[in-house]
Amino acid sequence: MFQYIIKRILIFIPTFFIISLLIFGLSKLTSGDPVLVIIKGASQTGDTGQRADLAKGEQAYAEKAAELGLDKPAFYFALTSMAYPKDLYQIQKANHRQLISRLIDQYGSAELALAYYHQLKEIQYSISDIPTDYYTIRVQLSSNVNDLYLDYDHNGIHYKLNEVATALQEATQQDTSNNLDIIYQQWQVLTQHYNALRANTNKTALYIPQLHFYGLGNQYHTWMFGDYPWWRTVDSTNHLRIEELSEQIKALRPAERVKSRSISTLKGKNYRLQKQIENPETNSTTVDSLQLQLVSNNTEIEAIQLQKAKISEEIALLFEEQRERAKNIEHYTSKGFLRGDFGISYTDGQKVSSRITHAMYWTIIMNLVAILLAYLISIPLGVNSAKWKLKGRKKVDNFTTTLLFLLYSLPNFWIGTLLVMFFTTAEYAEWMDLFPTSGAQDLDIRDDPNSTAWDVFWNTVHHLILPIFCITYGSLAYLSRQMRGSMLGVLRQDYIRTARAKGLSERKVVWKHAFRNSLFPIITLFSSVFPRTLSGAIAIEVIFAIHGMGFELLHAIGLRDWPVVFAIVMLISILAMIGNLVADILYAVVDPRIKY
Amino acid sequence: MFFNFNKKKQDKVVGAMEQSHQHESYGAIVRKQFYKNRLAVWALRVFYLILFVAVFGDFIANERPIYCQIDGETYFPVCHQYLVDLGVTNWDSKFISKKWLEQDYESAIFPPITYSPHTQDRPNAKFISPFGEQTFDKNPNGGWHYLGTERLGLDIASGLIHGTRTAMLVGIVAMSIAILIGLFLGALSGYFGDTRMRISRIRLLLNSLSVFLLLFYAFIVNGYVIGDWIAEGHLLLAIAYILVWWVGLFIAANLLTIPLKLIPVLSKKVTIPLDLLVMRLIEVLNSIPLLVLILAIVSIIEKPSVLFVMVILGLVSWTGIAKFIRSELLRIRRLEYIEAAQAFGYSEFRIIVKHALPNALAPVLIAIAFGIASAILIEAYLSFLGVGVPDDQITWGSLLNMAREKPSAWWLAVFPGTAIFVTVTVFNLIGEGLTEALDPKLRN
Repeated sequence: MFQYIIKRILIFIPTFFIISLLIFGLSKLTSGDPVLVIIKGASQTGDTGQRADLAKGEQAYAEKAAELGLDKPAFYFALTSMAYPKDLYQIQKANHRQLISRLIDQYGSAELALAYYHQLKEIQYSISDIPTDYYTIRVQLSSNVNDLYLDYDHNGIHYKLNEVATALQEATQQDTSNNLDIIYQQWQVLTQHYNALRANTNKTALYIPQLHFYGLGNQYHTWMFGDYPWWRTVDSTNHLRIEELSEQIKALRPAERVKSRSISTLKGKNYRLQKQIENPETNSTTVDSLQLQLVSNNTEIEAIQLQKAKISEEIALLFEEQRERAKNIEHYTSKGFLRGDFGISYTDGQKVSSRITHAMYWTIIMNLVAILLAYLISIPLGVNSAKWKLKGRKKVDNFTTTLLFLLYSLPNFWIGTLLVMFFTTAEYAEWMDLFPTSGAQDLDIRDDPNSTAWDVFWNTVHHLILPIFCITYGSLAYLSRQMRGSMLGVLRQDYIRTARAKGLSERKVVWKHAFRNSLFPIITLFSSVFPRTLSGAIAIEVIFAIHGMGFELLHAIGLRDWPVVFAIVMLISILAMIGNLVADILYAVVDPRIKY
Repeated sequence: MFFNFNKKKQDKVVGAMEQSHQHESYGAIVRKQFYKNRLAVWALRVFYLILFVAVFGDFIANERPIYCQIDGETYFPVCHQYLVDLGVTNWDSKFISKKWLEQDYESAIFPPITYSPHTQDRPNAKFISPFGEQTFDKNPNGGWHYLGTERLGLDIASGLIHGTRTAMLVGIVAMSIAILIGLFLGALSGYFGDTRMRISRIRLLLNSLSVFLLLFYAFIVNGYVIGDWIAEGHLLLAIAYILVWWVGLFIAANLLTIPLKLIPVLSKKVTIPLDLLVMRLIEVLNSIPLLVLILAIVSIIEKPSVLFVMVILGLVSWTGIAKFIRSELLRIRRLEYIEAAQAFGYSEFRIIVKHALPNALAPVLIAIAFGIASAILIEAYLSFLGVGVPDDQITWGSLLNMAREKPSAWWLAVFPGTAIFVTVTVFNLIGEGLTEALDPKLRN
């Protein structure tokens, strides 16, 4: 038997990894760049489009990507064609990677495609150096460059290249003082790169397969196992100190801002004083006093400037220490799914795991109660209905079989909707408002310090009666029908006839001799009933607004919060597989006839 | 002498041996058994009715009249619509500028329900009960809303009629895909078992190579082509493209085997435990909560379409059919007539397709009936949750979902739910009936 259980577990593991691969693959197919989604949620700073801002933005992107582990290759290996370089994943943004990959797909040359891309990027930087006076050309240029990042179709690229070239030509002819001529030259190089890419189209390399191996430092591995080994604890002193430092910096910032504000107000005053002094209408005595004021203001400005410099220096020092510590810190992305780290939610940047544990609680409770009830009711029901059939009590038998059949065919999301409609509101009659409409408990009862544990319990039961009924009845009907069939099969066997001939009471025949043998198929059915119950419960949770995993799943699908979606799908799959495993093992334990 | 038999005679011999196993035709027995079950027969009749509604839905619920006369000219707008959809003709301008129900007809015959699923009857909007007050001042041609309306004034009865087609299509298309896969895998694993599939090393090698190349050429080299097609909604084109690559590579691999087999090292036979492999695959598929997985797959598609739901359902629901076929073929392959066919030197392919499979098909009907029921149920479930079906498509599930907006609109919950329930029950009953009719133990 031990061997059998080991065998089952050995099947469990590859199944688990197949599912995890499937879900990982799906998560890679979702649209949108996760880094951008998260950054947009986090940053509120306006982008003025200066070179420094561009660089800062890219750095922020890189940091976030590293934090999410998205700067790594996707999998242990990649099957691509010869044309694709191995380190394409190092190109930062997802849509930039897409552009390069599309260009390679069209023209077959990675080198030229990358040259085109890098030139495009350089131009983006040059554009940010254009003084803001040349606003129109600047906007035109940057919007075209942004479009070119997304465009891989020849007509589109060709059109944009020409349009910008003519615009630049005109601009440089009108005015030579700006540095547009540099950009014009760069643009011509870009056009040359593009033409070279097109001229050297050679697709043969695209048809030769090649395997790239990336090792353990990949996204799947990180997602599943995490990127630091479980036996090593992370030294958190650096982390804590860094957080402390950023707190201190944050605290110093207002003081710095106050100083610079007072400097600028003083400067404004000085400006006005200067104006008054220069004004020929003011007489000389006032000029003198004004001059005095000006001087005193200037000294004050200098003093404040000194103070400000001091604060700035302090901040810079703190920054320096933070940077030093950050260098020594061990960056890790994730502890891995297997250790309960499910990633970061797109919507609020919080850990998915903290959100799911609560949801899991309700789902597991509801499903376990439902399955337990289904088994507890269906087994005696099935046995009795088999007895009725054998005793020839046709009416009762027909009634129960028909009822069970109808119950089996009733979609539970329909019944759920009907129950919510008719029995949780007073729309139709006062007395029909029997149950609460939504949720798993009343929050005010749960949070009320005066309410006892019993109150909370009964409140929860009151809330959960309808949903649990909806989850239960389908499996109940199915199990009862199977139990009946299995019991009928056993009762027709010879050894039962022998038992009857021996003169045993009907009760003993059924419950002592037939029952156990007829029970085994029902135990194995657990593995097919449990996943069905779990997925059926999703709709029920939505209908009754119980914040279980199904509810969270649909909520997350609506918000396109993929980490939550895939974590929940994974967890439900794991739950179902564990159910399977338990059923298999139970079967082996209970049935002495099984061979190992 | 056996060698002088021509093919026809050989078939006759095998056929006769087949017949000798069953005194009465198998089909006749099953049919007789099936018709004994009154409930199943009724279910079959209801099924015909549902099928009729699905096919002729446009003639039952439509805002266009079936026949009409305007300005002395005669039109058949419902039929005309089919031509317009095919791109053969266009509508007269007067039909475009004015709503169908507001036209001045000299004479017209309307369908029993005078609304298309997308017709918004504004005066009767905001959840009008079937027994409530309905106003028809603005469009005198409009008929009674037999099953009420929803928020925008869409007719529920019309939505139900047209949802029938979607439901049936989902059931039938998904099951067709499932049958193809299930028949193929089930027949292979049942007929060959664990020991009888012996192929030469080189064939195994080249076929695995062709699978690898299929992965490479169909999904990696042409990944963007296929991805773009799927994004534009040409799913079938993408599937056809992949299939062409597959068949091409498969044929190339097997043609290459013929000359290479002459080398003795390469022609050595290897046994493939086909049955084990297929059963493991089924086991893995069955242990996944597929509904949740389908939910996840369908939700990441940017342009949802029922077609995706059908294909995905088909791809995952073949296990039942494969199991049935497998167990049937395990039985059949031991029968004498199969041995006779083998003795004639027929190819394995011919034996499976021509002699073994036809006798194994009857039990598959059970799996198909239950499969259609569950496919329809899953489609309704998905559209009830609002996942995977486009927002503007009206299906039974989406109608039922509208009921959650307003608890007092009972007609929105009762009727679509009944439609789902009846259809699912009908297919379950047919499946039950078939199970009983095909079960030799229960046969008297």
